[in-house]
Amino acid sequence: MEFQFEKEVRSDKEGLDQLAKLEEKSRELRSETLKLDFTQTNFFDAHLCSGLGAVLTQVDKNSNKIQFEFGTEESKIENTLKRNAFMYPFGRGFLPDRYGTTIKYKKFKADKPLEFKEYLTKHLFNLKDMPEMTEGSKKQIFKSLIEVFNNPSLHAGCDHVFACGQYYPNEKHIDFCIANLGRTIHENVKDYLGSDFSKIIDIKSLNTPIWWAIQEGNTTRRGLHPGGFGLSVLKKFLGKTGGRLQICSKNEFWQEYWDIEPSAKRVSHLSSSIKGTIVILRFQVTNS
Amino acid sequence: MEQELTINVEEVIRGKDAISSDDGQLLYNRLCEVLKAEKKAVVDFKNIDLIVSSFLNSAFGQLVKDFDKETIEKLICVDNLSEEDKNLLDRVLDMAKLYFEQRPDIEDDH
Repeated sequence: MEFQFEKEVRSDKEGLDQLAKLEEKSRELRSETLKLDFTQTNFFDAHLCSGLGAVLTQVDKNSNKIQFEFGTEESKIENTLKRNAFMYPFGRGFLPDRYGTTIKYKKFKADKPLEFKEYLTKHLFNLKDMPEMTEGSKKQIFKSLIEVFNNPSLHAGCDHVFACGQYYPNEKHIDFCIANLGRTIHENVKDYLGSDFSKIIDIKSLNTPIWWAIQEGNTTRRGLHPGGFGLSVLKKFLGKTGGRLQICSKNEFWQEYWDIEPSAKRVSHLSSSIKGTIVILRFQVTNS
Repeated sequence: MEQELTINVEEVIRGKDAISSDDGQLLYNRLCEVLKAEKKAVVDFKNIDLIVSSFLNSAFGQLVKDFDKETIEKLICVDNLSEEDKNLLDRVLDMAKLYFEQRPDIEDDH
């Protein structure tokens, strides 16, 4: 099977749609070769490697081979994917991060938040030209990311969580993406709400399964451990600090921006449905 | 006067990060023993670097199934917890109460 990426793969509806399409098309692939064609692509948002990594891990698990086609020898895309160590497991080596702006791609066991925290400690605040941030601000970012990391093991029933990020020194923000291929938010909310699920699929009023899941106190858990805080804690922090939140699960793409005036939220439907959930966070990292 | 028991979180979870549900379970086991024996205890968060909601839900939230919030607050107090984390814990307990009210036939999820 061959999959051609478009000219740009950005952290937006079109970019996420490409990842969803790739996952949907490759889901049933067994003992075949998946050829990823980047020859027409001139931009790939590095943090989306988490989503791509999640999809390719599934493809690899299903006994398929994965090939990359970048076109030119000095492909900008290949260099991007080598700098954040994404290509290393595929035998394509890595490049030193001379700009000091990448937060390396890594696959984690879903029930190992301590390993994730160690990774953040090592990679997140040791970037070049990072503004001085107070320990309190750093801690808030750590907490937000760990809350997102913990969600899949509690709700999605998946084995692995994938993480990757990118620092933009000129814009002074970090984009960080956490992905899993477990149960979608929609599956969980539908199972939990039963017939009431139909009440929360009104896209025009932004009343959707993802919206439901990020409200404080709402949780699809049924066991002895209550929940319903992780994403709302994160949302409050991002709202207070001018960040962004994007969540993609199944075919819903939820976006909330607090870095523009007035803040905005938007929901759209992708043309394909992805397994699991991709959460993308933008943190402002000004002196604080 | 009966002496208060001190539960050192760092010792219970053998680390400085209160970020996993499994570690929360370890603290829950200790708190459960204390509450069942109707003893008083101070949960000391000294040296704990990070605390997230899944830890608190696991450690404190599930207590609300068997003990009411008032009993928990009467017998268990916390020390060396920031105002922000105290607020989070308070919300965890409130939400847990609501959670168990809405799910009277709950079963263990382990």
